[in-house]
Amino acid sequence: MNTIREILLGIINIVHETEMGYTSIVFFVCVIIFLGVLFLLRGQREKQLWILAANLVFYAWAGTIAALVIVFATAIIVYLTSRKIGEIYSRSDSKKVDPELKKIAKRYLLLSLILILAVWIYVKAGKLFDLREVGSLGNFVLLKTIIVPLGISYYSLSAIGYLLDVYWKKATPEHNFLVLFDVMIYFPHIVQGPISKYRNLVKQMNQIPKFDYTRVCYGLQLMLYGYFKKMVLADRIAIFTTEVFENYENYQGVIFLVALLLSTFQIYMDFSGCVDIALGISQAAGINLDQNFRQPFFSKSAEEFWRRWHITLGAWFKDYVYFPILVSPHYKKISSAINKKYGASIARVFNTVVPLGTVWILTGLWHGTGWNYFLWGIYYGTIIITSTLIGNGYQRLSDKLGINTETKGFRLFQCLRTGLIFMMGRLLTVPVSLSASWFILHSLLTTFNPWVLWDGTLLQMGLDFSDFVIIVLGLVIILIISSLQEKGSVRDMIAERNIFIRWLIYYGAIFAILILGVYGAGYDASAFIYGQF
Amino acid sequence: MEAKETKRRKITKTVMFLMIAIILFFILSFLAQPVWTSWNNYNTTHGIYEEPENTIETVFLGSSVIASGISPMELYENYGICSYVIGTARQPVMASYYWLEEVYNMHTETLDTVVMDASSLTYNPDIARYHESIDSMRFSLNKLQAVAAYSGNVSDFLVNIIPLLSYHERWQDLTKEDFTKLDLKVDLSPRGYNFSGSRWINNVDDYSDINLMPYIYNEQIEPYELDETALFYFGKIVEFCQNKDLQLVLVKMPASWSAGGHDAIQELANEYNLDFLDFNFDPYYSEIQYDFATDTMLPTELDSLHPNYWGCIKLTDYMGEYLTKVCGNRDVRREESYVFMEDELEGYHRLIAQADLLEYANPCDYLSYVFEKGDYTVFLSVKGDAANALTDEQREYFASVGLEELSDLTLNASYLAVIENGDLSVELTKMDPDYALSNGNNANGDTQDTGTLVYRGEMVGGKDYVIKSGGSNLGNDSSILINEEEYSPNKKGLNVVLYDNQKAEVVDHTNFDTSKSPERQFANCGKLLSEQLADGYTFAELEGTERLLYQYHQACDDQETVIAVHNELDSWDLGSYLRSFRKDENITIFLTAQNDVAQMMDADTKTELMKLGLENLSTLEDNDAYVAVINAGEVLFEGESYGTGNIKKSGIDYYLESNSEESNNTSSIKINGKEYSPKKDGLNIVIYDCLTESVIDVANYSKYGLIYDIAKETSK
Repeated sequence: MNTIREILLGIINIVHETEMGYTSIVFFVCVIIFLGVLFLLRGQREKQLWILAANLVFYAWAGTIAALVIVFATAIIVYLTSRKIGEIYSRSDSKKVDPELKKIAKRYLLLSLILILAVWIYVKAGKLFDLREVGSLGNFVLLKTIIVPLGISYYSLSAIGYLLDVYWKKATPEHNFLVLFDVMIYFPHIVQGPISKYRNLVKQMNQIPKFDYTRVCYGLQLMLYGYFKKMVLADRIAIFTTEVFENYENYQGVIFLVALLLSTFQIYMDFSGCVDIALGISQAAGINLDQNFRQPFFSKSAEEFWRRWHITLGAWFKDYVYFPILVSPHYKKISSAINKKYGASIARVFNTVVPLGTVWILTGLWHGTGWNYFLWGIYYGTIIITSTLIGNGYQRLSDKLGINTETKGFRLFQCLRTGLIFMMGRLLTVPVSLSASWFILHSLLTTFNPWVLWDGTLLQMGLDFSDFVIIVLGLVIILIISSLQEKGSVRDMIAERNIFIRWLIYYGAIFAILILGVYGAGYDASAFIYGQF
Repeated sequence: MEAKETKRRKITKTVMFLMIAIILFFILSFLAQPVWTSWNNYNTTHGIYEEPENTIETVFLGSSVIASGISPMELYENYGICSYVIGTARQPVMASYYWLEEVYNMHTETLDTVVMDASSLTYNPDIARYHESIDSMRFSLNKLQAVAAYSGNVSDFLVNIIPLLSYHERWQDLTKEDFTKLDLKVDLSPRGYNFSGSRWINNVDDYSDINLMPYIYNEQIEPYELDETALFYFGKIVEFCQNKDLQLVLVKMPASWSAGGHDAIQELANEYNLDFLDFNFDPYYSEIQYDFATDTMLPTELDSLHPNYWGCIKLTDYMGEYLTKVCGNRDVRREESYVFMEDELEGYHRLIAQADLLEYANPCDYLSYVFEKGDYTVFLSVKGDAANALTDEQREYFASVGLEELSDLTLNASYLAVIENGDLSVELTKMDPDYALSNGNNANGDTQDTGTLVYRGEMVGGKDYVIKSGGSNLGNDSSILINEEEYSPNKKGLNVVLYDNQKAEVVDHTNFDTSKSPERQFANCGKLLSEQLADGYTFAELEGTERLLYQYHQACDDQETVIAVHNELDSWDLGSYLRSFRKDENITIFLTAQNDVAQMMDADTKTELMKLGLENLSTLEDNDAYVAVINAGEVLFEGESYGTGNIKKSGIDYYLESNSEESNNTSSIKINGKEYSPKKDGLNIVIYDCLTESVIDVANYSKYGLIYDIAKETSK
């Protein structure tokens, strides 16, 4: 009896000590259990409840209970506001909304938007002013400490989008709170997005499909692909980049170039890998989340890049910031006034700079608080605004010089140029501070030490030669898959192959992740050399 | 119908897929799991499961010190006790606890005594040690609990329990051993004991490289913190022993230790009312007559002090008495259910034969011992030359055992031979080209061929070997590769590798430099020294290892004085060194100069020496000879070139000599006829303690500064 109690206590203890993250083994085991049970359930309500249970366990485990309370409160606000707006709109029978009613609805909308934004900004700003993280809910309400709810940057945007959709009558308010709450803290997308449109997800959450062999296979494949990118590549590269950027004073010149290049791949592998894991799980479960990446490094311009990179974020800003600015009556008034006074070309500049500038400064701030992110927003804003403004001129120049912009070579040049722009953007955000960024930029421009590439210096940053081989081979595999993706679904292509090839790919992927993945305490051969009695 | 068909096909496919994945997973897991053969780890942790159930009466738990300090087979042979040692490298107490449960589950009816090494209470090692100890535990609830206990969280638990996950990064470190580990056989005969025939004293240049023993138990004890995790699991061991009615004893093997540590453990033992046998301190240390110089292995940079085979014999013997008399362990030698122990004993005797082999100084004695034991394969390979010092008796012996070529071996010739179980498989030689020419003998036919002699063959067991031999002008090399592993010591003379056909492993690799002398140095210096002393040898007559051992023993006897003096030393300069000894009225200091001392001293030193009353020394001119004696704080005598006299109080005669032409500009300090001077350039100093009638320190002051031994001892 005693031992059983001991064992149970032991289990509780080690569960309590376990961290939950997308790449933890526990998460993977939990996901398998989650999917297994989900497929056994029949009714929609049971499925929704089961998803809720999974969401709550994940959220409480990966985050904190206090944070869960905040999310829950936000969900209540969103639910009540959307229902209220719906109720207000239902007072009039006509299809077109009565402006009077819209005015009333607007009050509710603004109130809840302010509430959501206030919590979000407080949390972000609190971090900036070094408020203590962790803390009781009471202290949080009294603005003494901050609690950073898991995924606040993601669900806040989505929630705002949903409320605006309801307000603009693009979405009908969901009556079932369970469904709305499920969508909001849906565990696959809560940590790293994609920033979902709730109006789409709510529909899917009400019609969760039953088990489908092909769909589940596809979902699991996407998960595997994500794990490969994240665990084999991103986490391996991170060893190198962390060393270089954290101890940047020790390094010079070309080392930074290598680190920046690697960190460019790292962020892509990390972010898109995690999103693939999320999309894969969700697809297996029967809910399709929005695509967040479409081979961004094949983009020919920075503007295109941002249509292929973190797609849902760009889409959100386009839908809820860019267009609303352009169509707002106040803005139109100012714009036409400028047109009259200064002429069409100046008005064009104004019409480009103001909405895009706003979008990019906000995008910068969304990524992180701090001057480096603000500058980063301006950096992209400037590039994109400039290219929009001079785009036609540029094309004309090319035509005059006789440069054929349709050749493969030129396209490759464009892709590399876009990659370079992104890489330099990393320079602003990866190093620990702006002064570090400046140090690195200065060193990049003044020190030329290419010998570090082959004199063994690169092998002293935590990665050995075989690690570099794995990184290069891994990136080549990703490149091949990405080019195939440009043509169509790679999973469809795999499905067309015979079973031998198919299984070879699956087993290869599984064991590549298990063997080459960076995880666990880390086997250090030297630790096993006998030391001290 | 069709839908059902496709459904069934899909299920079959899924099951097939998962099954293949699981099989692959197990294969890779098996490959990833390292086997630790060093420190007898593999045999210990696997062998425990091979022992018949309900036989073990005493289990020893602890780290490697207990694995090298206790030999259960000796306990059986001499006391009839059936015991087993579970000691892995730096074994955590947590692992000891779960192993205790494991052993108890298999030997519930017989297990009576638990002996635990106290040193494991002082640390909580890194995760590698947990793996080394627990990985090979058989799958059970107990193992799951053990892994959970050191993992701390579910993710780590899963990683630690599944070898493929814990060792996935090992893929580029996989060796041949990993692919052949299925062939590994468990050797049951050591029963957890880790044999070592290395003696510390045989591997040092200076006796002061060896820690002085026993530890001094003095007033200034530094408080010692035991490890909290270790203590927690020790509490569980105590509780377990109480519940299961087992006797628990704490021991501390002779190793790195302190009085503070002793006190901390003693306090713990008192708290739980346990016996604590600390072999680092008296009475136990004196009682077993442990000698750190001869009974301890040569420590490497990585590991600490461990008893060797001879130390183990002393410790085990004490434990045998203790277990029989105090714990009431039974003598099971005649019992039918313990017949299996006799087989294990046979294997054990072969294991410790390695210790016997070390004692043979003459290659003929070595070979005859091996042939007598039987079932060995002997590999011989000459490097450089092995003929120069061979005696006629040795040549005759080689001829008598069929080694004709070795019997007729010529100067600088290459030579190799393999003798399998007493039968000669191959014997090849190649004469040195110069030697052949000068002797009008062109046996090789082609004197231009100066390559090494090479022979490839296969042993009875199927293992391949390649032997190479090269005389001085024929490559000057020796190599003995067995299964692609090099075993030849590759030293000048006759290199020998001994392969045990029964154990299927190399058990000895050694070298006899028969080019220099017919016999190698006798390894058992302790035995030799006592014989020499019995024969009336003086210190001056002692040589090599025996001299070092004698000095070491002297230093051990005097270490209280030595430490007391050291505590007075406040710096490393000559003045403070002399002053600290001068205070003691039982101390006599002898000084002699060798070559130029005057130039080495700076003004400060000279002033210091003047204060000490050494006027002549402080005003010494270039290349002056100098001798002096300070007794009981007073300068007894200061002179040049020679000094001789006696000190009445202690009844010693001394003779001092400095820079004399006869002695070729060396210094000499003889006390009662024994030479103690280090004979180095500069000022040579000998400190004599009249109370213990022994030299307690020897120092030299030169341009390199002051070099003395006391500081080295006590600063360790």
